This record gives sequence, C-alpha cells and structure tokens, in this order.
Amino acid sequence: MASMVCTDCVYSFVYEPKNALIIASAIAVALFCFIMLKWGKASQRTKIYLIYAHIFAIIFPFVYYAFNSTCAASSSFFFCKNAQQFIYIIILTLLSSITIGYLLTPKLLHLSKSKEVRHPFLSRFIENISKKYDIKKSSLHLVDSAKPFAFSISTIKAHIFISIGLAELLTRKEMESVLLHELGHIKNRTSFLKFSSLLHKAISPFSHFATLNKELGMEEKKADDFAVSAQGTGRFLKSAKRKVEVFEGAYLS
Amino acid sequence: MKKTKSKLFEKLSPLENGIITILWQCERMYVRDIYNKLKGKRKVALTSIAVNLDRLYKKGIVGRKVEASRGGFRYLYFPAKNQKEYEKDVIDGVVNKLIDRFGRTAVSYFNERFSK
Repeated sequence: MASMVCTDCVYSFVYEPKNALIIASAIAVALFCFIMLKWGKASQRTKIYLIYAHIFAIIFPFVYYAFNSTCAASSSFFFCKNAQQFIYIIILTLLSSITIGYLLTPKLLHLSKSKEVRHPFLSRFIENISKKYDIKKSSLHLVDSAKPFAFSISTIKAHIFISIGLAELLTRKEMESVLLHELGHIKNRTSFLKFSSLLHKAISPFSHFATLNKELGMEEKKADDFAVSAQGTGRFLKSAKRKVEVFEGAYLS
Repeated sequence: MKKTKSKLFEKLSPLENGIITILWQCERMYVRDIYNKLKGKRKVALTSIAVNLDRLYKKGIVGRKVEASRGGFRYLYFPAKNQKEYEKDVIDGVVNKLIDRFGRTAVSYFNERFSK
C-alpha cells in the first residue's frame, strides 16, 4: 500500500485544520471508548455499544480520507486515485466480511466439518426445552471429531454443535446438561457478545488492554445456572465438565 | 537419512497395542466395548481409550464410522489392516530404515543372514 499512497496527498489532507480536527476528534472518541471499556462501570449492553463505537472511531479517519482526499499534484493523480480505491476496497471488505461473517459462521462451520442431524432423543429434547423456556428454535449439528466439545451460535437461526467425542463420553443425563448449557447461551444471546469480542480483538490495537473476558466468564456462569435450574441438579454438568477435562489432560500427556 | 513417509511405523504405546490387539480379535467395536474388555485386565479410564483410539485413527491403524445410538452418536472402530498386513508393513518400514541408514552393509548382512 505504501507505494500506492501518495504521501503529499496525505500530508496536505492532514494539515488542513478542519480535517485535522475531525481526525483528532475520532481518535479522542476511540480513546474515550477504550477508557470506558477498561475502567468504566458500564453494563454488558453498554460495553457492546462502546466496542462498536470504538471500532467505528478507529476506522472513521480512513473512511473520511477516502471520501475527501484530493490531490494537489497532478502528476501523482494516478497514485491518489489508486490509494483512494484501495481504501474503499479495504472498508467495503471489512464491513461486508463483518456482516457476512456474523451471518454465515454457522453455514461455514457446517460446510467445513459438521453436518446438521436429527436425532430422535437429542433433537426432541432441544425442541421441548426451547418450547418450555421460550428459546429460539435451534438445529443440532454433529462435528466429526473425537475431542469432546460443544458450542452454540445464534444469528438468524440458532445452531448447537456437538462433537461425536462428546456424545461418546457422556451419559444421557450429562448430555442433557450440556445441551441445556448451550440453550442457556442461546437464551441469553451470548453469541453476539462473543462475536463482538472477537471483532474487537481483530480490529482494535487496544483490545488486549480492555477485553470482555469478565463478561464472557459471567455468561458462562449464567448458562451453567440455567442448566442447573432446568435440570434441578448440577451433578451432571459437573461430571460432564470433569470428563472433558480428563480427556484434554490425557490428550496432552 | 530419509524419513519414513507413513506414520504406521511409529512405535505404539502399551495401551494402543492392547486396543489394536482387541480390535483384531473382534473386528468392529465401540469405545465402550473396548473399555469393558480392557478394564478387567488393567486400570484404565474410558477417556484414555477414546484418546488412544483417536491417536490410532490419526496414525492410520484403525478406521471409524459414525453411528447414531439411543443416547446420541458414537464411532464404530475397525482395524484399517489385519494383523498380518500390519506386521508386514512394520517389518517393511524397519528394513527400509536400516537400508537407508546403513546402505550396502545392511544389504550384505541380510544376504548373509538369509543364505544360512
């Protein structure tokens, strides 16, 4: 990109008082959002808003430059146009990949290593619990892996992924507790928080200093609580977790 | 020295050996069945059997297919090669390694050894 950007254009653009003020304001907003994320006592929802405001403030100077850059030197007009187009492409790619990424993640996972299945017991269990607790309808996906794991993604539709290794190791009651935990995530809409956290980590250079780990940990706890209250005991969830830990330990040894 | 291409010649752990021996005898088995057979002979956990079967699958020694069961899903494991074929492959791998390492010395040793 360096060869494509005409430095004269950038300098002349930034040195203009109005542009400098707008860019400085965007940086100030990004920093303010970062400070609020790091030290502020905001709710989870507010933190998600702050993340998107932070990301927008980081991207904004580039968008603004792409829309307003003018080139004084006619000889470098070609390079300016290229740089402008390059920035447009980056912004469009970024925005479209965020949207498509969020909407298509379940489909992409489905294409790569899992398949949607209907199991007489597991699928019916998911349907019954979804009806009982008014949770979005979820489809069950089977991942061809001996490692035991489960996760859920909720976009337009909700999807629960379980590995064959998990189904193999757990008893029926333990499997129910894991499905309840995932349904708890769908009920609490944790997916969007996870996606926002990943996006923040991918885009913001400050993300390592202000993470959403605490909020994500709380979401795990909430999903556990839902599973325990729906099942009436925490015994099965605990033993399922222990089996997964033992497997991971044995795999590493 | 040339590296062997296949992971088939990697040394098996005692548990992996125990599992593959049972699979050669019974041909097709689930993790739980192998666990039930082995737990009488040695102290072993179901998770260890699952881990070792996955390792054997990745080494190409066993194959597996997914089956639905009453409680969920499970793998049905089977030997990728019978015992004789596997042993032949191991011997082949060892001989190739020796020839790669010692060249003519190894070849003349085998000639002497087998002409007796």
